[in-house]
Amino acid sequence: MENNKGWFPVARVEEVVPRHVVQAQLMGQEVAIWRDDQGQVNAWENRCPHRGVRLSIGINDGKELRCRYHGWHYASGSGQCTFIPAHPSQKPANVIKAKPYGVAERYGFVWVNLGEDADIAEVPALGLNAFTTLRSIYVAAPVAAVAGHLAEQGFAPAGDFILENGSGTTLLIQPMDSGQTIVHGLAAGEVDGAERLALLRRHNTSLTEVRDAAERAAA
Amino acid sequence: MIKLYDFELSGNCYKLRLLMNILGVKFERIALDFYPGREHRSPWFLKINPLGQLPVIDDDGFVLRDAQAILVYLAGKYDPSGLWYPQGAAEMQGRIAQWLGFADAITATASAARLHDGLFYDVDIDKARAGAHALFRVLDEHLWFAEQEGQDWLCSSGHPTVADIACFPYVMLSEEGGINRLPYPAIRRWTDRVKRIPGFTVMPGIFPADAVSV
Repeated sequence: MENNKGWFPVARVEEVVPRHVVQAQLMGQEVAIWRDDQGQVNAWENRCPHRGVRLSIGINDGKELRCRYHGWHYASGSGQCTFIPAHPSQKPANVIKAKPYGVAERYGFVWVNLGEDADIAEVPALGLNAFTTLRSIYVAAPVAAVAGHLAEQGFAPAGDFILENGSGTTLLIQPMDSGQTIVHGLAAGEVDGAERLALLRRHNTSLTEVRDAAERAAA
Repeated sequence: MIKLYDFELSGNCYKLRLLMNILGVKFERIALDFYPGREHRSPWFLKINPLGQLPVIDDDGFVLRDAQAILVYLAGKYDPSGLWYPQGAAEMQGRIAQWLGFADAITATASAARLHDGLFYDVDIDKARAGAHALFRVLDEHLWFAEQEGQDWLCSSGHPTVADIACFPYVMLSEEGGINRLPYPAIRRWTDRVKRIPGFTVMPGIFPADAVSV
């Protein structure tokens, strides 16, 4: 599964809010991302081991994720099943667990690695200290098409699935599957208030234009 | 007591049940056989609503059709807080009306796709789904920037309005029409917030959020 390895951002840190489950997709694999009340973030295969229902429609109770279908409980961190409502007096077998992926929080994003031996030390170093995370843009087009249109806007590769434009903007590419891509972004420097909103709007507009161009070409 | 001409599986009927539940308004449901009986097109119901559409309310003789219009009426009459449809606030009312119109566009696309998939309606399904995705993009972007400004709701920061209630049901039911919400994380967060409004109630296909507040 070498193809599946590597760290990719899947959500802005501040969007993985308490008592919520984010539904993400990376390289064709759906991922349920949720934060417990202690702040620990989890990235699990989006599939209940019992009957396969998406865990992203489940309930984040702050300590465990409960499947919406038969209410099985899975513990933050390990993914271990802790309780099966239909068998309340039995301890669930150790082999019953949600499948956790590698997960890390860096540069304002939650990063996921689908590989078996994900090493947090391998999360790409971006060399940014002060930055502003931008609105992530979903594009219904393949990575190559998106990268091509970003190149026209002055973005050049600065690593695997990382692009920079020489004026302080770094883009991180999340391949959802062969036809869908998410472009995450960081702008160097920190600004607040109206200046920050204007910066976010400006980048949103330019990335949306790239999205529309890539989708027109892919259609 | 208010009579609601109702169909259990209708998102437009549900949004009235939802607001009335939140406001604590008692109502009586008159269930129509919308499918397969098409009772909303029957002679007796066409006398109540010549458009042959649900929902309709009869509030002690005052008969009103159109889900969005009924939300405005219910909030104006039964919300003593005045927060669900603020009176005398021109900009706010303009914004609310804008999103009530948006809710109708969601009905014309996402709900149409659901009727196609679930009840075999003759609908241009590709067009309906593409139309819903185009709307959801606008909604997701609006909600994302609203969050950046500390605003949790479609039109206001502190309290939801009828606009949130109007847009919620057919967004939440979109997957029954083959419209995935995975590309719309800000919409997903907003739907969780709607589900935590005190008095929230469910319909088939719409689950509650965790009862425990954060």
